[in-house]
Amino acid sequence: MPSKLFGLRTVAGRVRALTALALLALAVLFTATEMASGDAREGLDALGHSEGPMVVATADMYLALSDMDALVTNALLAGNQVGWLCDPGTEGSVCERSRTRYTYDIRREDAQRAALQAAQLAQGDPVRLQSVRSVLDGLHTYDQQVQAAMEVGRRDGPATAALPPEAVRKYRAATALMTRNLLPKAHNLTLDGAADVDEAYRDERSAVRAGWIRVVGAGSALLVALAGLQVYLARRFRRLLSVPLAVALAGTLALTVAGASLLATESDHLRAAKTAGLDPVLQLTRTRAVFKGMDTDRGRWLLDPADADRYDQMYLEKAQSILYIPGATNLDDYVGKLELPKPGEDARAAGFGGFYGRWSDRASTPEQAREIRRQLARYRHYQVYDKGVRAENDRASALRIHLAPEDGAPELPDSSFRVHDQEFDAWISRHEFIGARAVARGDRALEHWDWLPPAAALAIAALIVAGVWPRLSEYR
Amino acid sequence: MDAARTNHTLVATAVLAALAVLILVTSLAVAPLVHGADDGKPSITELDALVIGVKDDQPGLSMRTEDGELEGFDVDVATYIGGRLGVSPEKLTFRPLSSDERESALNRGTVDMVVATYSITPERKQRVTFAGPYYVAHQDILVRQGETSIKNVRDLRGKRLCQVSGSNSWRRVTEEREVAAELVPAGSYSECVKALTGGRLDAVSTDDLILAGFAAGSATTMVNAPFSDERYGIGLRKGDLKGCQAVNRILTGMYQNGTAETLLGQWFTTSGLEVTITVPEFEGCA
Repeated sequence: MPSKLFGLRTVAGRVRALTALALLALAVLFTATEMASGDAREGLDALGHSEGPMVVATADMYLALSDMDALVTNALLAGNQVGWLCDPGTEGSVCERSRTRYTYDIRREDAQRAALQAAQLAQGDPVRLQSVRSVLDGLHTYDQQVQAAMEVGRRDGPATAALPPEAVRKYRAATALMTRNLLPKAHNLTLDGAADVDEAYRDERSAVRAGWIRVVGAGSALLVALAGLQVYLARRFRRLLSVPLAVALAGTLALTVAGASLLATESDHLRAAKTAGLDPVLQLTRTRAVFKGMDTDRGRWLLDPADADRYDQMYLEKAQSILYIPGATNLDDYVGKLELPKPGEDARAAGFGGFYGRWSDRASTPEQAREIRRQLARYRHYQVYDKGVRAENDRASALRIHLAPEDGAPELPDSSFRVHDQEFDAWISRHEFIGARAVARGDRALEHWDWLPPAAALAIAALIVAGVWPRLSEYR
Repeated sequence: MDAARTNHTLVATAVLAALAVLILVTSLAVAPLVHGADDGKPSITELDALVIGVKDDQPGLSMRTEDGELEGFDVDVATYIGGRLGVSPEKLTFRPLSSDERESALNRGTVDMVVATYSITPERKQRVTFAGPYYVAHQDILVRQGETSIKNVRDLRGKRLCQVSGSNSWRRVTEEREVAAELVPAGSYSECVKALTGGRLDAVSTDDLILAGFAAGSATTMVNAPFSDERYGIGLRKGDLKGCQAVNRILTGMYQNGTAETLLGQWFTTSGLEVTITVPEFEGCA
């Protein structure tokens, strides 16, 4: 007979059993709160402090590498090899190093720094570490190939004259190394790291939500058990109220409500850090780099006309990944079908896919929708401009439109490129801020939750014992 | 104390105690269910045996030999991936699929993985999860040895170009690039290569890996003027993201440890094709 087994036939036995039940619920409440707040801490750590920033670093590396190849291409197109090769540190040198070269050096350092950061976090994963290493080695080779192309490409004639074939060959090797070897590796590192962060996010966030259920359940169970104890003691021993038990009841209620609301908040912060922070930052950084690469593809097409078909195809594929138009199989067709969505209609409704299709789905307010429409208009403007460059019959005039001499900076891309690019930059900063803010708020909400649950649990346990002990001692 | 009152108290307490136990047990049982993101179907990483969809008519990629076995680059890549997923070669079944069967076979579950010169396209991505690409093939041109007048796709103007029924490759030349080549119909690429060596054609154009396979051993040569990117992906059941990520890691390793280079060298380089031996840019699992 179980009731005999647990001593439930005696009053003391019943009090002991009820106390044990309350203490068990308290133990579950404490453990669930501890574990779930730990999960929240780990989730925030993955998104905001360890893997998340590493993944963003690899995405930045991809962007820096794209920038480097763009700078090299435009410097060769503008014919400023002398400014590129100039080393003002050498004694007796009277040349002036070009601004493009300075920018290149900065972007190269950015790429290298990002690679080193990725390497630190890839410790213990030999496959990933080798990818990072081979990007770093490849950067060195790329530098040498660029240097060689610049040296062979030095020419005396007008800056816009075609490059000597040997220089084109060297350039082709360098840009192929970048686009077919280094950029893919950098992107694969981002994908791989992002998959890990996704998994950590899903695991930790569902652990936090499961923790919420456990906390509410264990807290309610404890409240009911304490009520049972209170009723039994009051009736059996003719007391009105046990003060320690009443305080324990209030304490349990406070701990449960605070714990549950903490976990609900943390779950929201985790979601914000991921879906409004990391995810859009990665998506936008990638698209910005692809857009940059697309502009460079036109530069490659101008620089290396023998491979023009391939560069055209690369341009079209990048355009399609930014804004997908079903059935557009060549550039004329693409620009022709690139009609802006009507007011009140988003890109997806206009039949567009790719980045802009996905991004339109995110727009939840009319202001966001307008912002996307404005950016779409810039994108279309850029594609129309591209068509204009391609329509030029001679190389010199095509070159003049490809670069932006009107701004006094002959090696900069055209302004229709830059306005689109700068808007992306602003969006990235905004989402970086939203992500960082969510992580900081999540961290702040967790302050004191390292000592609070054990202290509260100990206090409640002590109160329960204090409420029960005097009654039990009457039976000694 | 009267007995009725005692009984009353006892029942009330017992009900409260039972309620506490019930709440506690229920919440503990329900909590793990929030992790229900899984669609319940097994990932390719959890299978002990694999059925792999391949082509059976592409020399160098996947072709039935005289003794009935399938051999080629696709078969070797699939075997490598299977091995790394922990499936031994005798537990791998290769099932030939035609091009339009690939999506439905994956989604019906008759094959677990498709490695069959399966180009990743936005339309296909809506129905299939693609790992890879494991190789980026390019449309290229095959000519007779000694032919020097064709250096790129533009030079096909006025030349006799093979038009294989059911293949779209000729469209990329005459429609997308609007190069006015003279189209000569043929039933298959092996017929094209025969006609090319026999002088009835000037050029054959399709994916370089396919051309390399058909050209091996014939008096033809690759122009090496690629003008498109065909990203050959590994087709998986839509939604198997875990499997997709695992396969991508395996592919990264396959290029790092030199297996890819060995296999590409073994199947394609005799035709004069310059193969890419570094890992392609992955599509991303979705």
